[in-house]
Amino acid sequence: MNHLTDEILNKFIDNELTTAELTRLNDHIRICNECLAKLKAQKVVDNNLKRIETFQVSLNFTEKVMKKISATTVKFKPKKSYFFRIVFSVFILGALAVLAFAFANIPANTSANETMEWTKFFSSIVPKLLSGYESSISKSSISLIGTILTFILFISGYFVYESHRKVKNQINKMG
Amino acid sequence: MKNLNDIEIIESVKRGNTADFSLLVDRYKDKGFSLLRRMLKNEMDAEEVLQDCFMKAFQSLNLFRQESKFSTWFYRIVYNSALSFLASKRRKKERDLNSIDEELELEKNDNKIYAETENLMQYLNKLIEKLPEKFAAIINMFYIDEMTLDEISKATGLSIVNIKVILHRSRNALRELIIKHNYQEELL
Repeated sequence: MNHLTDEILNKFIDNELTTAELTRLNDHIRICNECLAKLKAQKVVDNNLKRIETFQVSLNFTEKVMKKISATTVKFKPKKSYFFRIVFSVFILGALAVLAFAFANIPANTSANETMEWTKFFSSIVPKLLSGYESSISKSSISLIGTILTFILFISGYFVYESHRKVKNQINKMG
Repeated sequence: MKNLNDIEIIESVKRGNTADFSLLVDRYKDKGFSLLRRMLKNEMDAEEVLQDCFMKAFQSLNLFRQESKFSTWFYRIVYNSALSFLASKRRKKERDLNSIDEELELEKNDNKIYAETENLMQYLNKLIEKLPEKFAAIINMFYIDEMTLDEISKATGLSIVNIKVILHRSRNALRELIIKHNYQEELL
């Protein structure tokens, strides 16, 4: 009579026996008290190992660890979204460049008004800006600049939308 | 905040919210402590090593690539720290501790343990304390932390075959003592 091996007993505990092996095991323990006792003992070990105690660390343990951590020099720097900042900066720089270009053309057209007061200057700056454009930039150049600006605006809008969507997703996840 | 999963906590810590690391400490301190106490057989040593483990985890958080669960990664730190601690304590090389051919000398302490304990649970808990550190660690990970063999393998660096050998040898040794004291009847 072949007794149950340690391997078979462990396989039984781990549910790794095939149907044929399981049948042989059942047939054997019906006629062999020694193996039945072994199988029972193996189950007792397995059942009780699942219930062995978990030790608890001292109450102020987390506090101690966090104190140690705050005393160290290693700090995590928050991640920054440089990409969005770059796109936004390009847009601002573009807008500034266009304005600077327009201002550079104003003196040529406004030389006769050099003595005018600042208030008058500001109140009339818009039409002068337009006249500056009309005199110095051709219609095709204006439409090109307009297209570029619109394009930049669309791109910026897209990234702002994406960034908001990401933040919204993160908030939803936390909830 | 308490509902955050491990990865969300780690991301938050990486964004600069260092205080959120306490959520991970609270989550894993008792599990880590149980593992260390069973391996080091000493409460004070276990707590000291566990503090170092959390420090190591915090300082290496940027190296955690999420290829495995945080718990597996953290257990690897705990297990290796325990082995290093034991190696330095015993002035023994780590490779000696990595052997799985250690003798299970449970029988040697059995009569004393049996006399001192009142029931099967107490008896088994005391016996586990007498298991060699690696055996105790694997029993702890498999039964208490319900880790898979693959996760235990990643945490300990041992092969799945060796983990199975350790698990089976531990169970078999405990089984023989259970039979010796006729505890198997408590199953019914």
